[in-house]
Amino acid sequence: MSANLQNENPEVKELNQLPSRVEEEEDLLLSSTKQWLTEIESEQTNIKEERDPIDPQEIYDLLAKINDPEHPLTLAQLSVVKLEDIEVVDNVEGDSYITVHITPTIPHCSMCTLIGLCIRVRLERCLPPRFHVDVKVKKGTHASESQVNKQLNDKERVAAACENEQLLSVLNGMMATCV
Amino acid sequence: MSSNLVALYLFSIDRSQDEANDVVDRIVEEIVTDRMGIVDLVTSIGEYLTDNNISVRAKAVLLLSQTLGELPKDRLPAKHVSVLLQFYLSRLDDEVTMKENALGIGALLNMQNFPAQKIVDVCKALFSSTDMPKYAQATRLNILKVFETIIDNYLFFISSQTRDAFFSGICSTFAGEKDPRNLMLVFSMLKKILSTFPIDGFEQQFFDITYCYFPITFRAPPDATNLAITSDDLKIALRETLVANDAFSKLLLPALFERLKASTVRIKIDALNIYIEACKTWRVGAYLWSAKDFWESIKQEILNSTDAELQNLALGALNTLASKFYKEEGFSSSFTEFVDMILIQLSQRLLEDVNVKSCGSCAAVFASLASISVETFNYCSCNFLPSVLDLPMVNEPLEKQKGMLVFLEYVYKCLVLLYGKWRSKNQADIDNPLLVYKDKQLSFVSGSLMGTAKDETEIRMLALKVIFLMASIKNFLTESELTMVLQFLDDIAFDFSDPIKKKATECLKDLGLLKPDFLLLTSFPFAFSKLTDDVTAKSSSEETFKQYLSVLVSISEERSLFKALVIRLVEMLKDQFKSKEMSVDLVESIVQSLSVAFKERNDRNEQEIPFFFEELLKQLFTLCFANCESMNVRCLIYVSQTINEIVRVNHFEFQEKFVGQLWKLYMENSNSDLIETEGCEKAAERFTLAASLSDQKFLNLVVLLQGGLNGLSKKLHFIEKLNIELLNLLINVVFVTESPGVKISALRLISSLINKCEKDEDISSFISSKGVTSLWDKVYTGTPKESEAALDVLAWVDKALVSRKHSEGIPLAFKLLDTLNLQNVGDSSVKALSIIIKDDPALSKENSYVEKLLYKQRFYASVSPKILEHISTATGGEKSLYLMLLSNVIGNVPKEIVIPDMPSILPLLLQCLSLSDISVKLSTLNVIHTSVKELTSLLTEYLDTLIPSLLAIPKDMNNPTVVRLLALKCLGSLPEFTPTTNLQLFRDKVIRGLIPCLDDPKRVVRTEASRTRHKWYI
Repeated sequence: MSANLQNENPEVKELNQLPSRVEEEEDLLLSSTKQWLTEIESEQTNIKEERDPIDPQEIYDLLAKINDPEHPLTLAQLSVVKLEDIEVVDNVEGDSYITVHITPTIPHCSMCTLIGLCIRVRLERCLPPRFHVDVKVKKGTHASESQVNKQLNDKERVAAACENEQLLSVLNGMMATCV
Repeated sequence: MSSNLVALYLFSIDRSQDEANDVVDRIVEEIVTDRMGIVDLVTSIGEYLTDNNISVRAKAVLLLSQTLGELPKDRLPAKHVSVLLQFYLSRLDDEVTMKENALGIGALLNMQNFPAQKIVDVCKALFSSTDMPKYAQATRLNILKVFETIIDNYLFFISSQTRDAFFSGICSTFAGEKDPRNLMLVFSMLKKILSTFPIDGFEQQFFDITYCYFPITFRAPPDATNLAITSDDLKIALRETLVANDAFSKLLLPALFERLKASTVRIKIDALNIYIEACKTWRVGAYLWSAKDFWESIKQEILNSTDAELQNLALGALNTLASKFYKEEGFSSSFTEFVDMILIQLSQRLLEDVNVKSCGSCAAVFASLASISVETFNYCSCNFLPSVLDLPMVNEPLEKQKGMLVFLEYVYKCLVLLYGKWRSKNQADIDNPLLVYKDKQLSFVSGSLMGTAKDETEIRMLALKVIFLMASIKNFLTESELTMVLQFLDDIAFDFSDPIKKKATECLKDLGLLKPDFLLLTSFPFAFSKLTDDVTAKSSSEETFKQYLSVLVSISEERSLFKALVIRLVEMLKDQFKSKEMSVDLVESIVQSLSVAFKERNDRNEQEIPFFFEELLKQLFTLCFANCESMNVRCLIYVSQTINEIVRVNHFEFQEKFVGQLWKLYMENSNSDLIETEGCEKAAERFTLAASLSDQKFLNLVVLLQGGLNGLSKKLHFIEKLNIELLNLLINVVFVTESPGVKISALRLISSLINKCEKDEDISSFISSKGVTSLWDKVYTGTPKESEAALDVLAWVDKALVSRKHSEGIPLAFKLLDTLNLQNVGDSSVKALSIIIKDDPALSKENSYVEKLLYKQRFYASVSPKILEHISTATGGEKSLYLMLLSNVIGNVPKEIVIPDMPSILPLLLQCLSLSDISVKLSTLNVIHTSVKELTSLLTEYLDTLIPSLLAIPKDMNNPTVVRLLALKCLGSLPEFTPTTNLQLFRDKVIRGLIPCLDDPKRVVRTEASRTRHKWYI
């Protein structure tokens, strides 16, 4: 594959330029604090937890680290996945859906379907089943946009693709860096 | 005798190398003690040396060679060495014993009496008789070692007449080596020859046998576990050999440039590393001729590469080359010609297209040239910058603006480097070529920062970096411009919804360190007026106050700013207490911020203690005493922590004086300097600790006493001697108080006083005093509340004893352990016993609390067997109490001491996971999470129990976030360390079981659940 790259010189974003949520909460939870008060508070306060809604940034973080099948770069670095192209409606009681528009690096990119499939698989693995997931190619960015969209949102085709062991191992390879 | 030993050697060498070595040792001993001569040995093995059996011949030579190797270096006289050398050289045509021969020659070369003039004969014989490709690796290695000895010790005996023959012999012998072990030796020898000798006439030959290995890669075969050589070792050795002599210059550099133009990234990186090394090692004249060729071969990598490592390395190489060039030739015409060539190409590229990528790479090249010196910066700026900086910026597409900002960032970084920041001693002339562009750029950068939409993070972040750099450069911006920049930064840092507020706060902090007076006049009034507005409007919550104050604390690292901040905050506190509409939230936020500010200051290890601290202590005590009725315990604890931070870092005399005043205030009915007379003299006059026992509001002031005494030095007379009166009063406080905060403060103070006291005997007599012994009665016969308080006191006393390894510590813990059987007291006993081993934030080494080496280990080793014994016999509720205790103990000792006991403890820990107590779950999960790597095989046996428990915890919303998170982390670490085959059975169950966790209310848990689930798709 690498011998004959379709897009030899893609636009690459530096890692520090990518939109990210500083994950301090986990460190804060796990680090032992040196404040004298916490000792007393932990025993007294009741657990009250507000819900953090699922937002585009959270979805972006799930997808950002997927590796491109051609380059040793992530989809976020290549701007295939962009924060502004993710739509989320998170409604615990009713309908929830997510739409991700991907931007191929070049209009005739044949990897587009594979990337879209990988995004779909990743989201289905990481999101609760109440979400309806749509993965689409961004309008006007790909030569065979409607065809790719049709393939990506055909449940049976996606399911069949996931049965294919060879394809699955390629997808797993792309997602290997997502941990 | 010798013939017996020879026979024994020949017999034993096939069986065991150790036995054979023993025989050699015996022979050496015989020779050293003159019981055997070397001639005897040679005679004894003589018959074997001509044996038709190859193996026997080889063994015989090996014996002789090994013996020579083990003999003391000065043992053999020159005559014997010569004869033996002749013997070995004459045997070189016996190919099958070449390995052993080489070993013997090597041993002789190391002899003190080796005749150096013979070295030419040795070389000649070796060159003519050896045919390296024929031999096995070990044989080649022995021959190479002979050459190593020659090169190390006898290189200078090679005369000019014999030099040519030696060099060509070396080149043909060393050529074509393939084994990495031998190759390392070859490289090191070549390096020595090349760096010691002029190699005129042999450049091509030496270059050929060395460069043929480039690019070198090596991966050790999977069965070669002892092979310590890595690909990097070989790369480094090859690099050092290639740059050892600059005679290679004309051969090496063109070859490297070819590689740089067309090969894979890894090879280009290797080639660049060699080039950089060459620039650093060689005479400048040896490579200057190549400067233009280098740029031509590397410019594509710098301007268009997608590999950051390669790009940075190439820039580093360019910088090294240019700075060497500048140092050697100064500002010569050839240097400016070189620089001009590059700058013209950069200009052309930028004129084609201005975007982030082109600007970033061009600016990086500019910076690598311009940053060499002020002179080069001025030259590069005058010749190149106008073409870029005159480009229109405002109203251009966003991409173009971003590109320009990236460019400016590099330019201003150079400027900071060369002209220095404010406060730096760098006196470079500031008449820099960028001054003419300052206004235009400042307005452009300000527009990008403040004029674009908030969520355009990328461009605003870039603008922020540039404007910060501009503000940092010494004498660059005027006062009014600086003020304007600070106002921008204030607007961002104090806008809590701004995504770049954190970076803006950092910039403010750094500018505060450089120009504190400006922050004092700009940021402080801004923040305090906003804070006051919010308080007046009553629109803000505690969270908002804390955010304002946290930014203020962050930016006030500089000393004068810190002082100003503390004074303003204390004034604000005073105003609040005077005000009729006091905001409790604001008061709490202020005292909390004060404690954080002092703690961070101490954590930064700022040695200097400002003089106003003494005054501050007075103000804090006065405020609290005057307002103790309206101040809650939480606020008092924050103040107490602030007092502790101030006192603990202060000098001995200060502490001595302070403790005297504190004593007056709390124990005697006399005037203390800690109270300003204004307003609260009445409260202070009425107050003593003993009297306060009858009034809960006054009792709260114990919290401040603890803060004051907690951090005192052990050497203070007050601390050295145990103060029984105070201790008994504090015990009473524990029983009387209704506030958990006051209770824990009193307990901490009791523990701190006992722990830091000088003499063990004083402690023993206190423990046996009525005040303490009566506590046991309360444990057994008192009301539940009394027995809980008594247990708490005993536990905190024991904590002090255990951590200073007092002899009564462990027995007291055993007595406490016995209370677990008591009805209605068990839970409190578990809590009490856990306190002994749990780290407490107030009782730390920083506060001079004595924590002797391995005290936790000792406690664990004594107590855990007892707990395990009880667990095996206990039933029902009692058992769960012991399990809780076990988990708490294990969770608080270093994991290294628990791991050996894990086979017996793990099944019990797994039971703890199903208990409802949250702290038990937390400590159990912590133990499992931190030790899963070491426990892989053990955990495999318990997967049936472990996985369902771990799956159940995150689904149960009664567990707090941290417990749910840790359970998922434990579950996620299993596939990382456990063999896949053991987990296959559970795979589908876990993947299915984790679905509810993907919808957890907390984002951290959801993220961890998706990570864990991802890991389980094995």
